[in-house]
Amino acid sequence: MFDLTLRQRHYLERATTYGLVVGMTLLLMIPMVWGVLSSVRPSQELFSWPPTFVPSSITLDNYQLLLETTEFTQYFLNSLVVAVLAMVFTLSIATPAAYAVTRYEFLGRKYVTNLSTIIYMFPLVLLGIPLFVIFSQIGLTNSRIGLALTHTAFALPFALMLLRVFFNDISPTIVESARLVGASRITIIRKIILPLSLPGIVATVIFVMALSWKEYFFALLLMNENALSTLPIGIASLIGMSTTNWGLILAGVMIMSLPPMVLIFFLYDYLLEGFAVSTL
Amino acid sequence: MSATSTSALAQAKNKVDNLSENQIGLLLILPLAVLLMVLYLYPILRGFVFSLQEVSLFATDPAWIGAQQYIDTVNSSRFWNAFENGIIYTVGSVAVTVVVGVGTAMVLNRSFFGERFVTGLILSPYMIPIVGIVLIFRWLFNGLNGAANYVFIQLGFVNEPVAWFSSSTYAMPMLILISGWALYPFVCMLVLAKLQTIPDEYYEAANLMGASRTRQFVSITLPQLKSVLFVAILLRMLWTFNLFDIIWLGTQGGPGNATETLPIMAYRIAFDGLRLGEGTAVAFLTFVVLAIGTIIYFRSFGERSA
Repeated sequence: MFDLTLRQRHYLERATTYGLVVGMTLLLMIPMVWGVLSSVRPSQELFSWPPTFVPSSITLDNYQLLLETTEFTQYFLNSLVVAVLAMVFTLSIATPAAYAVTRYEFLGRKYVTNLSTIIYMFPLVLLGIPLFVIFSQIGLTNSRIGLALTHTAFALPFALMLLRVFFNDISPTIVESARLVGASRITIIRKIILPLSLPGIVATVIFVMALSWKEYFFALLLMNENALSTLPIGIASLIGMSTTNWGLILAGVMIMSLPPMVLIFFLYDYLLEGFAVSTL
Repeated sequence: MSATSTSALAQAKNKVDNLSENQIGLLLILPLAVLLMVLYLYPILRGFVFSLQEVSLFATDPAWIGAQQYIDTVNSSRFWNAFENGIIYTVGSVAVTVVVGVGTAMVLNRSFFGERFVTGLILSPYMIPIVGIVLIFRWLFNGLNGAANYVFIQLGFVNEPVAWFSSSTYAMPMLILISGWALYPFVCMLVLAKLQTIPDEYYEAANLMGASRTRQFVSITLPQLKSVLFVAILLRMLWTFNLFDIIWLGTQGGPGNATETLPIMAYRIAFDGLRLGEGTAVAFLTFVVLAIGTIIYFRSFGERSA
């Protein structure tokens, strides 16, 4: 390379870093920025050619129209209910299992830890077709509980991975000393394990809810009644209407997407930690 | 009353403490095992039975026809077309995902002002529902007056507005682009998590010995990333080959069968064609393809990724 002083090389290095950061961010954020801009501009501007890139004025008309003329609030509520149910089911099954995998040596332990690779080999359709038939027979189609159960099934490996990380972080010596002073297994779990892994459990709660929130396939398969549709199905159904009002649809997309997007700013450390330890 | 409940609790505690490690482990695993059996094992077995029957969505009396549906499917050109589309889609998406994912992770691993904010921004597509992502791209690449068409015409890439999603040439690249954008954060996180565990000393030592940045990347970073990349690529390939929602929302497998992959074919046959048995047979063949692919992958790279 050229003969540069150490100081010059430092500045060059800084400049490259910021150049890369800015370029990467701008390029990757184009779709999202364009989506947001299109949802807040006046409708007549959406179909102008050439397209206007900066909106002439900012308006929330599309959002108002969405809430007034469609069943968006109903979809939102349905999504929320299903996500909470799925989260409760997942946590109550994954927490004991993750704890067992980190603390105890038992028959079949390695199958539980390799669960994700095994489960993701099954195509969703392969599960979907028979599940649809079984659920229709026992009345779990068009049921929020039925949908939440399917979300539980595919959120489980993910929840197991995250929870394992947090249980792993608790030093075995604390548990050992608690046992030496005579604490029972249940006391140890209640007084030591659960409080110490609480942040991890909260993170898992949020990620499981986000998984359910964005799930499309089973919601499409199991919920035929419009009144029971979750957000992904409800918003996608807006596109089938006689004239597609893109401003309205994008407003819906933004309300659906922005809350989970904001959460990742606070929570990605947990994911990174999870990925560093596990292979999922 | 409180005395009896306390003693009951104490008894329960005693019981739990008297279990062996193996017993308590199995006990805690039990709910998981039950759920997996009800929601995975049983449906898959039921599905296998379907695939041997001629059963439609509303018919009550299925007829046993053995492996006929498998044989017919494997002999149909539609199956091989879907298989080929699946390979193209998977290889394309995984390539884009890995390149963008590793690239962004390398940049995010540098230290700069606003690091946390930018990292959150770059990872944020991970949280957007697929429906939202596909709709945003369908708007951006709108065939009539999408912004992408305008920019591409100005840049001279195309002469007139292109209907990206209904053209048999562009539909597949379009789906690969969407998948790349939707799925790169996963690879980025996996790689970033690994990069953060590489000790700084390695790079300091290399610096002292006068190794260039490229040299450091090849000799330190890449070998460390190897195992994590094998895992990322394997999981991404499994997921992408099975992926349903991006293709269904983008093109529904169209135009014609141009972007039909095996999961889409299975869904179309089962629910649009109302032939559940045949649809399940296609789904099983998808699984077989994946299982073979996974075994080959593990055989060739297994030890190194362990």
